[in-house]
Amino acid sequence: MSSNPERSQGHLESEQALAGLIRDREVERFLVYECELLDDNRLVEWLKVLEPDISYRAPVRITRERTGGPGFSETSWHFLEDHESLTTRVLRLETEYAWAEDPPSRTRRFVSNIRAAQAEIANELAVTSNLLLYRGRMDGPEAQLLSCERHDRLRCRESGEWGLAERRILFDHTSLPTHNLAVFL
Amino acid sequence: MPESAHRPVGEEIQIGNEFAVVRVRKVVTRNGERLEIIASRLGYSILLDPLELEALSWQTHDSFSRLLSSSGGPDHDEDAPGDRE
Amino acid sequence: MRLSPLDHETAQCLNGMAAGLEEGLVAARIFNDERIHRAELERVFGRAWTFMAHESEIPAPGDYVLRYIGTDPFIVVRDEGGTVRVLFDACRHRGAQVCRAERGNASHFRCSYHGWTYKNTGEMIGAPSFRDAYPNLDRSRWGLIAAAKVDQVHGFIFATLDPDAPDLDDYLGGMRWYLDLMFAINRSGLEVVGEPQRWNMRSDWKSGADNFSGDDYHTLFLHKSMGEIGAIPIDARANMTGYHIQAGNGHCLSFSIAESAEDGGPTFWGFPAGIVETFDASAVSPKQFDIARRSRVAVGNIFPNLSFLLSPLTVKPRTVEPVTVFTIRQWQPRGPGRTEAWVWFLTWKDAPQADRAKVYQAGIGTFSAGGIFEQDDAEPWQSIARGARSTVARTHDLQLNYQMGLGASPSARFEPEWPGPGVAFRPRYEEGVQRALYRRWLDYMESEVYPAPRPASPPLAAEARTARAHA
Repeated sequence: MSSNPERSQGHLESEQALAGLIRDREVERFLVYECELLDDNRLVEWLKVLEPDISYRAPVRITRERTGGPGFSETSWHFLEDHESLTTRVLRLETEYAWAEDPPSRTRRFVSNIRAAQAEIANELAVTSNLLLYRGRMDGPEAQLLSCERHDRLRCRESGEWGLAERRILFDHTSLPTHNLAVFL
Repeated sequence: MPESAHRPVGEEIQIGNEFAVVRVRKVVTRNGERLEIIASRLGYSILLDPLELEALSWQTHDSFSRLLSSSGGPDHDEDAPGDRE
Repeated sequence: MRLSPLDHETAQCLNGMAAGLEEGLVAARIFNDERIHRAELERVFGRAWTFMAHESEIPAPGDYVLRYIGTDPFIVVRDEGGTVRVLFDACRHRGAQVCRAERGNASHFRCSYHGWTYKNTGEMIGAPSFRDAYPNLDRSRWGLIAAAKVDQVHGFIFATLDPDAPDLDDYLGGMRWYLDLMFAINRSGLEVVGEPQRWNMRSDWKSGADNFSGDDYHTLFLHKSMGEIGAIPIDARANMTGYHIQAGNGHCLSFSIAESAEDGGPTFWGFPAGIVETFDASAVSPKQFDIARRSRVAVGNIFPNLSFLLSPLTVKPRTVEPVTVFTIRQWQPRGPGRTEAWVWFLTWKDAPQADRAKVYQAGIGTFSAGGIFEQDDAEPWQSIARGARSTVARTHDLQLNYQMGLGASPSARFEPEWPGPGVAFRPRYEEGVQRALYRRWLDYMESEVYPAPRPASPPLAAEARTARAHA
């Protein structure tokens, strides 16, 4: 080990940079895997990547003047879910009468612009990402596009795998350009 | 009033809607205090003393309709313009 | 007020519908037709009373929200004196949009184009360099266009563009009695939670109004998953016990109701004991209170397009008891075969905070864009619009079956002893409520003058009908 303090400092910085790179890569892998589960309709497996105390929310958005802020409601929601209510949704979609997704939508989720940072709790990360959801249904050529930013909290489990502890979906829409929200973002 | 004759104290408050945004703050002079109102969009500001503020408090909204009848700022031959920022 | 004349094809279609409705037939094409849509905007939405907002959305002077009558944008504002105004959101100078934030507070509105300025009553009060630019302008003639009439019932603000429209109470007719039994029962009144949710379906607004006029039949099949997962505490078949009520003027309701309050199952729509204690029997009549006490689920539609639902529901059947969700929804026409759904959730003003959170979660989880009931409704509604615009629908004059309840052995009996206004049928295996909706729609579509009131009429006896048919 070098006795040169500048060399030690440089060593520490590159260790940190490497740790950051690894963390970013793991976060990306997790989010991509989560999208794969949803796009492939593997919803029961998707429930497994959610932490038991998950808070999954999407506030309603309205148009405000620039100085009035981005317009996200603090009292109205498109999704206001916890693990149990999300489980109810998935169980319902597995019944034979869930017409909204039977036939299922053809979805493709594009996740990008991923920014991860250490949260104040040691084993958690605050992650922001963009999501574009392409959704086709039935035999028509029309498709829907839903765009949002997601503010997530990832938690490292004892197994070393990541789990989703919190998601806040910030739509780029006020009046939603979709006939229902029978899919997850 | 020359710039150096007053200084702001405390927090600035911003109040806005889609039609106007103003900033409001207390300023102190050597001998007293006033309320500064800054309307940056149109570029006006004014320093109101407590008596003027009291007069504001007993106005009705109709009084302000009269003031707003020239709604882009004062007419050139009407009230003396406020200090431009 | 000037109505555009009906084109020949539309007039013919409507002409056949009155006779068709007597036989329980509805022309499929009305659910996706450009000319019918344009005629509706003038004849239905241009003349009926439209829901604008709940008073709790604009509580303070200067509060406003942007809403629509048909496809026309309006500012719904409480002026400095406390009066609610409904003002067309177009400057009188060049027609530019005056208010652009969906929600705000302002004592005056200033157009962003040239700066024309209005009080929040709609009166024009000035413009930039007013004395130079407009030395001769009579400001009193250039205010924002106001709706002809504005009124409210239990805090629900309605407006009409037609000065010949009857007053709101007359327009509601018998429906007023049912709104009183649901909303007057707690003297502190209702309030809206947050902002409405909006989403867009490629379906016709009438499919929503039709469904909420009293389509309980579809709960047996479309919403079968709800029973399977336990989201609603009432068995689907047992839920068909109840009454369909035509309140008159196209307004309809459907109550799932127990024979007696001691039957077991929810009472007062499943509101918990703490809320039921706030219900004041002296605020309504004994008959109204009795109906309220035996009610499990109430669904209805105020003509043309404001529906409501009161029902115990849960999205967490294993751990959370059903709570009473109260939601209103407006099916706004956006084009032929296009609807924008607006959904609000309401609570009683004196409901405890802890209850509100549970109620909101149950509501959003069941009746909203992602609601586990509502998400399924969009599927058939969209396919209805698809079929409606077909060539077959026009060239073969495709008629849809709205005949449930008609015929020699009707599946539902007229109940002359029903204590409320209008006519009631029991059980809910009947489609008279939908036929009443379309009959009123026809009144508005065909009449060049404001349609006369259409009270609900009891069914003719079978023999009398046969005699008339042969006369």
